[in-house]
Amino acid sequence: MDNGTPLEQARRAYRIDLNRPLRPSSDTHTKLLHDFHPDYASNSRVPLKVGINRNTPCHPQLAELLQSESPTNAAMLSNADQLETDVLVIGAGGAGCAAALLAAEHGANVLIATKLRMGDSNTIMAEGGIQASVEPGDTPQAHFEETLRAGHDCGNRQLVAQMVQDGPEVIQWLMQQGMQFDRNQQGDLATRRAGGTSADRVLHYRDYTGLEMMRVLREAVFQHPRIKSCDYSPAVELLSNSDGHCSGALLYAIETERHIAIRANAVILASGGLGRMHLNGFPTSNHVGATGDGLVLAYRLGAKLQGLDSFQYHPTGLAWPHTLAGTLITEGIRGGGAQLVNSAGERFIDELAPRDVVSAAIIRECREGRGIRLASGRQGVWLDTPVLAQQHAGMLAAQFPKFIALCEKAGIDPDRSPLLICPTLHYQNGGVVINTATETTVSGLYCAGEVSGGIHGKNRIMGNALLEIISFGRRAGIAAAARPRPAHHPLTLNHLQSFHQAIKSSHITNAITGPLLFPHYARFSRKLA
Amino acid sequence: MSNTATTKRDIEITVNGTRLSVLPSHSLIQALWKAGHPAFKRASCLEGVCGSCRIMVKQRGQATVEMALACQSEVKPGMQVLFPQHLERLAPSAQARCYSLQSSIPPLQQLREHFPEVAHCRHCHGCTVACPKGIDVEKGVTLANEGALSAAGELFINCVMCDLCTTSCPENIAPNYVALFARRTTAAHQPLPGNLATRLQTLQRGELKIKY
Repeated sequence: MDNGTPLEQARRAYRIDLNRPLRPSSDTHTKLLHDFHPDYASNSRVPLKVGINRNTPCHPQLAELLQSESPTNAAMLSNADQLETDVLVIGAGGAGCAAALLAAEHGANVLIATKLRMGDSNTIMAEGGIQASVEPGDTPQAHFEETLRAGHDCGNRQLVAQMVQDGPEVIQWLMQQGMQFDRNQQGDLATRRAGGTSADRVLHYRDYTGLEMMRVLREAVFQHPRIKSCDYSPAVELLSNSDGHCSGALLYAIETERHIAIRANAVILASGGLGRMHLNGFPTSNHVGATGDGLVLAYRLGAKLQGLDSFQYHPTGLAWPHTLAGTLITEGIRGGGAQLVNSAGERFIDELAPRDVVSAAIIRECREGRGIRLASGRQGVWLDTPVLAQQHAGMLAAQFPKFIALCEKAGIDPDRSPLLICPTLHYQNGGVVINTATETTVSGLYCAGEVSGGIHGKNRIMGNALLEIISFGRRAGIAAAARPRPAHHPLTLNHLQSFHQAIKSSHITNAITGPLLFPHYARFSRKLA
Repeated sequence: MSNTATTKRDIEITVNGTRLSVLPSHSLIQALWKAGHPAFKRASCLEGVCGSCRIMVKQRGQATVEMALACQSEVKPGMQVLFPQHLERLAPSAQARCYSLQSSIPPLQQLREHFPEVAHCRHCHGCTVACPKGIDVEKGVTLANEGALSAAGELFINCVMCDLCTTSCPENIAPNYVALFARRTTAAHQPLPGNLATRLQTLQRGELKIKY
């Protein structure tokens, strides 16, 4: 695309304007989504050919991964080092750590394994905050209804109801673990407004909410005498017993290049999302390990998935400079008063409309020639922070230190200059089907956090991800610790053989093997011996 | 030498003793990826908040070694980089830091029990110099030693737990863990916020059930 205004020209033309009107538009939210959101494009879904979700629509890149072959074989399992635990937690972000802590508190011996360092996750990068209805004018009912509405009424009502009712208690638990929250002068929890909601419901600690949460939970996990941790050891396959139940997992220790077979009474998958698959060529706000591993492992074992064609493109990823492309700029900045402005100097969308609508509107501006163009051809629009700075002097520095650090690195003074932004792949809305006790359709396998599906429907609101990981993470820990011990629990890869058979008979040709573990540009290779 | 792919745009750097040609104007992580060097796995967030990609750097013409995060460091000609292995083994053991936030023992007494080295600070500034986030780490240690735990913790808002200060201390003080103790103690001992306390009571009475 060579329409749009070149960056330098747009920069010279930019003026601070506190009275910028919102351009009237006849496009309804529905029309914006259908015409411009990547999920609604005609090439954005194909039916799956194998597995329990056969004929379910799925994003083509994810379908390729879910129907990929595994490089793992029985010899690797028999040559692997062996460990045994009551509960195995895969993933050490917020959901995994909360699950490990609660399982251990309920008497289980826990092993928590992670691909990266303990705590490395999308949680640690979360900026906006965590939702919980605590303000006098707000209710869990409003939180419930707005979560469902933002998700286009595709969320599971039981799961959402349970999560929003957990909210206040989740906050209390986090405080007991030693997490700090911003407070107002009366000592009440400070709150901010999320897009698509009617009440101030997002609790936060500066724009470091995830970092503060993860520092605390990681330390609590290290301190617990019944939790052992295993870092730089991604799960490369789940293991099944003769009944097809989940009986453990095969890990790959990156440092020693050896496989480790873990026998577990219950497995909690908390492995997060897939932003690093760069769906539709989008940049991502996700950490390096977000490659959808959990989905492919669970699917091969027969766990039902849902919402495989629904992803969140966060409206405000940094577009320039290119070395920082995709880095998230929190919605809190728009909540504070920053505006979205096109190359003609117009506001074109309510900045606090639901995220999917705002992203679609940004894409519309770019496609219709009102974007700002980079030399690479990529386009974006302005996030007008100077208007915020003029109206609330000192707010950016006081409330958004992570944002300020990003601006320093980018060489941008947000008090004077707007930032070029474009949508960035942020979140997997769907995932593994769970019930209120986090059980999947496979006995012995539990799921919590971004890898699970059903809460956010087709669009998530700010702050519900952090609530989800703690609400369901804790419940997963309790449920997994209580699972009755099976009499006979061998470790097999039998499920993998039947899955491979199905792939073969469906004549699927595979370009990739799964799980990916790392994005292709990280050039990771697993030793297959 | 096998520098077959060197172009005019490339710059030379040394990583863990190996000379490499990489593209300029990139972070060290991006440059290593683009140059096709798979050696380094310890990167995660790429935003400077996870603290995993810690490095030691010596720039050309400089006499001193600096601590930094690789995702936040731009490649410069002639820079020498060391990705230290096993840094986490230098952190205090879980056993050493197994204080309890619910304990009746006063926080300051717990600090003395679990982090006795705090009293031995030599004020050498090693920790402060090592911090890639610009935290006045030594001041935090001093404040903690004086019993000002809340103020000590407040200095560490930006801390990413990269452990570089802990690695640098000649007295085996673990400043980032001391600060985390201070922050967690402060949080756990604060009175429950009024709006949260009211809402919790309402929910405990069985009110505000969801209708659907």
